[in-house]
Amino acid sequence: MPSLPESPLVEQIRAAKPRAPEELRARIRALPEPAPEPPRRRPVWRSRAVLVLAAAAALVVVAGLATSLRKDGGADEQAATGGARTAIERAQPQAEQDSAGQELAEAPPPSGNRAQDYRAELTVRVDNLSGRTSEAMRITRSLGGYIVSADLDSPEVGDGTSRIVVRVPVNRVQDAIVRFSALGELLAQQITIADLQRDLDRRAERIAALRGTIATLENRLRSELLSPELAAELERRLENARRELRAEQRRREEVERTARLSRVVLTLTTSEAEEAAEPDGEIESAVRDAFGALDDLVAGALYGLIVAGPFVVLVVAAVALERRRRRRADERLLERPAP
Amino acid sequence: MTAQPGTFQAAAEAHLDDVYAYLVYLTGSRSLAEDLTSATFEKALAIWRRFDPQRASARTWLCQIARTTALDHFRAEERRRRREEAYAADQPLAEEPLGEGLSPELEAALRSLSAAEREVIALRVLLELDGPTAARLLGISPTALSTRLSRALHRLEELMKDAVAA
Repeated sequence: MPSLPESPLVEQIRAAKPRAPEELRARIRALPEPAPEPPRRRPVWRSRAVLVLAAAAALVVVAGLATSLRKDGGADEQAATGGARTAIERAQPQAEQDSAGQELAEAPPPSGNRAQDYRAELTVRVDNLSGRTSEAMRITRSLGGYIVSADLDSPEVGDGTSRIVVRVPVNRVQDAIVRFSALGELLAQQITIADLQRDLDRRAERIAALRGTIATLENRLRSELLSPELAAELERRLENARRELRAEQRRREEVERTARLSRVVLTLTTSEAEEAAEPDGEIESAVRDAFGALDDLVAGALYGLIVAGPFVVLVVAAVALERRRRRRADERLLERPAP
Repeated sequence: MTAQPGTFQAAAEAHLDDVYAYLVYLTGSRSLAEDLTSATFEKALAIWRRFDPQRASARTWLCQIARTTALDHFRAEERRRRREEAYAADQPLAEEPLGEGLSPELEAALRSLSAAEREVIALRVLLELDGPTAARLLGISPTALSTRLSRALHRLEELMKDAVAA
């Protein structure tokens, strides 16, 4: 930046510098002194950076925790609230051994007193695809269920897959899962439970209310002396109420049917499962858990960044544009020629 | 009574003239500058705890507040002008001298400049702020500041030549 050119003009302007009038000086002197406080040592930008970093870290932790909880805490949450849909997913399914040493799936039991939509998905590696598919169908029927669909793909060369969708009475679903998993080596298992009781209760209330309305309308039409217009209006309302009642009853039956019959999707495959790892020691297990938690945390953070990223960019862009607009407006304001 | 160094009162005492002079040049009106100077120091008092001497000198900080205060005033005036039929801002400002002892030609030439031009002269000539500080205060680059100052001084000289020739 070049130094200011010294000229008579500049000197004259400097020499004629306006001085604050005494009245103004007195007003400023009369201002009280603010309460003493040590001056801030840290530059503001550093505090802001710390705040931004803290917010980002909080976001990462919250997202990570949310992801972890979503994966691990589902069953407990479902039991506690009896409400939201819950998914229990295990890449390496928990299993117990049967008498023959076969690994069997361990599934959470359905609720005894609440209507639930219980869904399970199992992937089992088998040797004899066709035979095991038939056996799965037999198991389904023996449990009082039925086959919704079956799709067998057994090429001469390469791995074959069979996908069977079955409905099994909900009180037998645990048996079904155990027996299906005993068909071979359990590779994956996912169970989803959604509460239907609240929906059922709401529909029961609505049905009761509609029945009351219908009874009232029928009573009025029977016992009162009504004008033809009013009678027609009441008839119309009665018909609407009956139609709605039928629809509600239909929907309630559908929900009850869903609650009675669980849905199991069984995938049988001949593809080789990955070699099971040797059981880990405590240290290996702790390290693996730590990496697993870190993995969840990173995944959660990435999820948060991907979801929040566009919004953050938009907000930053909007703020920058607004600042630029404001600065230009100020410049226009100041650059207006003197009147 | 002498204020202790580092206190608000000391800063106010030391820089009152600078803030006032800056506002006189920016607004072109001594009475308006008085009001805005009062408002500036009231605001400064309210946020004195946020003042960080490591970031800027008290004078620069106060000038920044003065500028914000003046811009708020200009914006409010602009809105008022739009609302009202009478174009109040185009009414001539009170004929108070900008400086004490300016020649009538220089006074008139300064008044012919835009507020932005007077502002840069106030900061660089009157207050003798260095270039980077003044640029930061105005929110522009040092190069832009240099250009703006050079144009303002050149225009001032031209106006003075015209006045002398007339």
